[in-house]
Amino acid sequence: MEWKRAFEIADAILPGETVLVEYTTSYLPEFFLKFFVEYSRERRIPLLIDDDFDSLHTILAHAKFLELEIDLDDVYVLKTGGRIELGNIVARVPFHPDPRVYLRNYEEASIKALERIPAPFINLVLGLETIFFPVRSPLELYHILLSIQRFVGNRKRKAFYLINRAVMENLPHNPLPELERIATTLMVLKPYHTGADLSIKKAVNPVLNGMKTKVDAGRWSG
Amino acid sequence: MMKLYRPVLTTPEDVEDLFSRLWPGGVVLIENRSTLGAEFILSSFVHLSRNSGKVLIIEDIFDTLPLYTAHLDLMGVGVDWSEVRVIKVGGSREVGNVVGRIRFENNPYVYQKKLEEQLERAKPSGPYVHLVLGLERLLALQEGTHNAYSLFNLIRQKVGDEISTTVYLVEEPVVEGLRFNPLPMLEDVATSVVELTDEDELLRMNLRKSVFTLLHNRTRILLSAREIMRWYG
Repeated sequence: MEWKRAFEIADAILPGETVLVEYTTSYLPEFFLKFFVEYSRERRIPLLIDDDFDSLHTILAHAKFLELEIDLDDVYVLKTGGRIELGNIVARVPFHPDPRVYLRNYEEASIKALERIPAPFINLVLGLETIFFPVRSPLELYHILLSIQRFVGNRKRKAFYLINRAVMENLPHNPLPELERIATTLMVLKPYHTGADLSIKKAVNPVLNGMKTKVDAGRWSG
Repeated sequence: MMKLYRPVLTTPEDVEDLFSRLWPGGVVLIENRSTLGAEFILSSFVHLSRNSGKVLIIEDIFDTLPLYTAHLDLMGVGVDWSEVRVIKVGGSREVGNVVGRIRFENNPYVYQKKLEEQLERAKPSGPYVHLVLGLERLLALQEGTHNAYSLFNLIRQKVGDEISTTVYLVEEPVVEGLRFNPLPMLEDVATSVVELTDEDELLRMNLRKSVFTLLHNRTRILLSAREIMRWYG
């Protein structure tokens, strides 16, 4: 697969950034995950995946159908909820429908995880949508948003939050406008049959600002 | 009338002139539609406050200020926050000289009373600028339209103030998503309304309701973020 362009973009993300990557119905998450596993190996930067409610399992199952090989041997995983354990689990976060309880659990677990992983590392967040499902009030929504905001500027990590735009927009309390404002870089992926148009709508790194490019899967093997 | 619509790239003097017409007195509403425009406007306020000697008091609702400062840090824009007086409303991260702190209050009258007590202690004897960051967060958390109406009535009372200027920097996309969109009402109450949008790598200020427009015959101002960094850097 030809990743050159995508490598350059990932290189241009600064430590401390919170990158929001929006996509719509497609196999983009599968390719996105494969990209980061390869990028992390090539650049020798550790990869930590936040696996919320078995999102990782879903993506890997789809990848198998696509005959897309994704090797999680060197990947650290911070697991919230769910049952299917993949990769090297560094911590499990007990989920709780009250965001205050859950976020406290998450912060404790992530401190434990961060001790084990040499910085700077890449933090890929999969299934963030599921964390917002039980939100019943604006106050609960803002508990979660402020917790995400507190990680902005943490130079130990470059974080990428992959979110399905339509899922977020249709939640009773839509977190998308705030998430976009909190993000330091906002990328929108628009799928076409063998790839995606990538446009960067917001970037603290001026090199990336306004960039439009194609990331094509083309042919892949193994 | 054509030249009203011709955008002109702005100099630091223009910006100072524009800002100097904002105060004293009045309520200014800045609606942010751009991606990183709020951060630049915020840093301009800090620099202009230092240059003009007018005290800047920031009401920081739910850690909105530390979010903007984190963005500015990542962009490599250095801002000296030490002289900025900050009143924290909820939230936990402190930036600048924190002179007061109030807990989030769902009743706007109680909220306003607490805020005024804090302002009374924080404000200088002369003119000052009261910049409110995160009003969209307050509005999202104020349940029901009744509370929002009460809040507007309180804002209305600030319009005639002759020593302080109140500036609301509001994130438009966040406000629009609320069940009750308060912007039209806020615009009606405000003395000046400025909208920020992106135009390629430039930042555009649309003066939608402004004394400046009437006096200078201009409705659009283009700013270059890199230029702004150079003026103040």
